[in-house]
Amino acid sequence: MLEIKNLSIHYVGKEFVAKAVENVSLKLNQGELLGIVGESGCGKTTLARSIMGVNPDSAKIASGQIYFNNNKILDADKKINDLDFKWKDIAFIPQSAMNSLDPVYRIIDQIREILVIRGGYTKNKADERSEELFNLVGIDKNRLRDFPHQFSGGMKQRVAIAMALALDPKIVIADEPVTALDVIVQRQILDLFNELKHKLNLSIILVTHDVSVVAYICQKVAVMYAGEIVEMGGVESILQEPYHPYTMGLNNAFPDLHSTNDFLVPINGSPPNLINPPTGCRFKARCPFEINKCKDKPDRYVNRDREAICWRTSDQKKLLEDSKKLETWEIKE
Amino acid sequence: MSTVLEFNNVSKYYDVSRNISEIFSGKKPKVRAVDDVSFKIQQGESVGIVGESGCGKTTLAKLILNLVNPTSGKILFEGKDISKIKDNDELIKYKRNLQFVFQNPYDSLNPRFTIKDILLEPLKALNFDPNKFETMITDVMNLVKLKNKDEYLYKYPHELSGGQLQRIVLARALIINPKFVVADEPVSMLDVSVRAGILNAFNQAKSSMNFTAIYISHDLALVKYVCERTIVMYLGSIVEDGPTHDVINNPLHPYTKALVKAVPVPHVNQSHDPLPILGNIPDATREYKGCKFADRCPKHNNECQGGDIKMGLVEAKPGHWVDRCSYITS
Repeated sequence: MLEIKNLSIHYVGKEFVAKAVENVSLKLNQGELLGIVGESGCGKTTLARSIMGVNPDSAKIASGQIYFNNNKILDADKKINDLDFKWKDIAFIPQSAMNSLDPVYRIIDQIREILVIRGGYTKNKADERSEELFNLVGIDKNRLRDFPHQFSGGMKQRVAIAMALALDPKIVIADEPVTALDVIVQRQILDLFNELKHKLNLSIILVTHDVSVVAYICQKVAVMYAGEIVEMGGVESILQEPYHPYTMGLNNAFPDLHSTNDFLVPINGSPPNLINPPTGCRFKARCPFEINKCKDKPDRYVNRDREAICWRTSDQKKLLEDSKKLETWEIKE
Repeated sequence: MSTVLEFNNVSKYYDVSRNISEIFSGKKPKVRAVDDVSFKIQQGESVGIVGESGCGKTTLAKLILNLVNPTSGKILFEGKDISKIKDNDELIKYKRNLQFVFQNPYDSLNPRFTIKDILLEPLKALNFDPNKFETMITDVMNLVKLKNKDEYLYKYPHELSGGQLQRIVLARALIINPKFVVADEPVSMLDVSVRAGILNAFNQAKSSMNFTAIYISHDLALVKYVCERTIVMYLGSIVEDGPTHDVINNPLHPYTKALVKAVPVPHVNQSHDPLPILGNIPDATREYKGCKFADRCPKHNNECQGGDIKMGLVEAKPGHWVDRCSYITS
């Protein structure tokens, strides 16, 4: 349904070029819930925004294309400015969407704006549709005439979801939709995404830094590190049988309420500077399993639905075993 | 073991006037940020305080640090009432005992100070001996695992990464060798891969310096790695207080039960059942009779909301206290 091919996005400044996204390819099928996980600065938001074409001007597409239903919607060579399909077919819930509601307008005015300007609804039709949307996301329709400050954080997030669904999109891209919410509200919003996915047969891309959010609702996950997708595959296999050392580290570092371990295993160091990223494997400076070969770009390892960029995928069993030990990740000299 | 900190029926109410009619009518609704809270903390304990936003956990921290005064009740630190501290000397003496680790390292370090200035500030403010400054800095930098200290000391905060900055925040708190450390969400601004490192440094410092710690967090899963005892708060009151292991694996209060179920875990095939909790967090200014959790509780009965029920903690199992409500319903 949505296909990204070899996409690279560079932020061009006066004196430097930051390579935020490098050579990313992924596919999203109908009705699929894809999670993109990674730490801050790994390019996940830039990637999500590029699908909508809402990156700032300094972001240049260095290479690659994006296709939606086999129509090219983004190309490195020529500018495609077909806004029409956007919002109608692909909707975007930006980061902290709940703070992006305009505080001086009633909610209904803000939803109506989308429906009338983008969707060509009449005012009455738009109001009907707004009620329908509120029903869908589980808010009482009497609250349509409230102002944003009268809603709690979770409710505002529901409003943002309602607005994204206004024009019946086929794909929803949600950037950190549950990050600022408390766990109980977070769970309710995730359940709402799940319910909507089944009800409307939506395809959803969920951008998050939280592995457990992905584990809870996604079927497929792409792990990003320093602008690259280092590993991609089904959620179950990524969590249980990771191939890339970064994924192994991430799984270990993540707090787990029910694990019997009483320590967490950190990944030492910090992500590389993307203005001058290291050649070869980008994770090698922090990787405990670095070998000589790592100074060259690793080949893409592909095994059915699994993909990983690492030289040592053939030793996966042993690495996974070692990665669970604290001493493996001690600072290397 | 001796009691370090004791809260005796402490409450902190804030007046709020949220709209013009409330301002002019002089009607001031009260937010009960901390409502009749009592607990004791023993020397060397590490206690996690968990709850959703608005449950009063940060106000509790401010009360301990004497940054706000309680509306009613007494806070005793080593047996002395801290609201009775009058002059500056006494305050300095009190503050030499305890330190605070802030949530956001990017905001809590002065951008115009070098790391060394930042670390020296508490030493100067609390009148430590200037001859010892150098050794204290060396010790604390080793403690937070920034071994190559000269690499950091003359840098400014913007030159360091978030994880390194949070280690500096931790170092600034530990440099005076405090007896008591309050950490308010110290890792919530950091990436997962560096979080673990900070928590490990905190744990190691705790075992080598043997301070008493309060760790405030919304994340029960993180508290598990730091604290042996956990206090769960809901709308300004303590609803459950017990050994962390028991609170997580065998929660008694219906709110804790919902909270534990809601914590996301990095496993597939988790239960997608609806949470055993109703509605949303109510308006903070609401007044309650009986149990505060009653209208969100799936098991509530009329008795819970009546005025005659006396709330308060009951010891359900040795060391595991729970608000009376669930003790009756379960």
